[in-house]
Amino acid sequence: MRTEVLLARRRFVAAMLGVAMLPLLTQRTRAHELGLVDPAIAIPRLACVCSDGRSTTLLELLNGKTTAVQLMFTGCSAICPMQGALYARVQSYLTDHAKRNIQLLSLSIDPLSDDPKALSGWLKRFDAREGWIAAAPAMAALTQITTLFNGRAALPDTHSGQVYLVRRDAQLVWRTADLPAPRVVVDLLIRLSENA
Amino acid sequence: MTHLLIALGMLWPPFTSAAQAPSESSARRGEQLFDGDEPIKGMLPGHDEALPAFASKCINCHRTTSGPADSSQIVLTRSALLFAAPRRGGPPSRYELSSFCMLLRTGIDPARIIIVHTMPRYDLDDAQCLDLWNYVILPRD
Repeated sequence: MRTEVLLARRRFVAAMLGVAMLPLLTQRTRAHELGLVDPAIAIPRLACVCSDGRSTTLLELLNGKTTAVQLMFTGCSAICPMQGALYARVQSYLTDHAKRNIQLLSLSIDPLSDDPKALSGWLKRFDAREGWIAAAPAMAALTQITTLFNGRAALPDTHSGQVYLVRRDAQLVWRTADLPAPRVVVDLLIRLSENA
Repeated sequence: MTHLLIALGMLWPPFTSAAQAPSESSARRGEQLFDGDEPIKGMLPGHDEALPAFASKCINCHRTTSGPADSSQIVLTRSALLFAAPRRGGPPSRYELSSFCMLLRTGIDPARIIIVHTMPRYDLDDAQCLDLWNYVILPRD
């Protein structure tokens, strides 16, 4: 029953976003969807709620830290468990992330379901340590967020396992392949933190 | 002529079920593998470490019954596997045990097309693969 309700809610969100994004779907892709994002894209000030209940903006979350962003939702059983496992492995390799000012962000694309409690559960499920945070955008910011990271308009149900690299100055600069090897993400984060 | 048709029919995999009915115990073991109660080692292409078992369970992305459900789940039923159908833009193909196992281990489907990068490749022995096959081709429809 709960699954049916969740599915119905997700379909509702997808339908609403589909209508809202029709004009965007006809626009030319404004950046590469894979690899270097050139020119880099400034992260906008979009409203978000963190797993600790704090209201903030995406810009505030990312400004000042080299960040790997993944789009996910806690009710997803397909690709998301692999995304969580990927970050867990990345974090195990990043022993000096605090010194390097590196963080991992799991960013939900299901703001209706992913409240702070659900986001905290996500982090706990993967034994996330300090430096791995989770947040969900405000419903009104969802389209902008998926478009920003995907490089094109995309319905939330079609999210990928890509990792998006954001420089310390809050500029999106790299999109990896789907579910990249953890070492690839670590190397990118370290190189980015050294060059920022 | 009638005898010839009957003989050909018996050779066609979908109709040999009576003679080759999967053993119940094998299908039960297959169900445990499918549901993740019995872990299988799965690794994504390009990765050098296996995924945790909970992240690579078949049931995370597949279901063994047709009918309405989450559309993102790919259906693995007897009819979906045993009857010829175009898959991934290739020519019509059908699965049999060997091609099913090859896909799970290598990511190459019966039409020699590489499946998506996001499906793990599994380290299965022959017995595990047979159990899983016997489970997914159980008549359910």
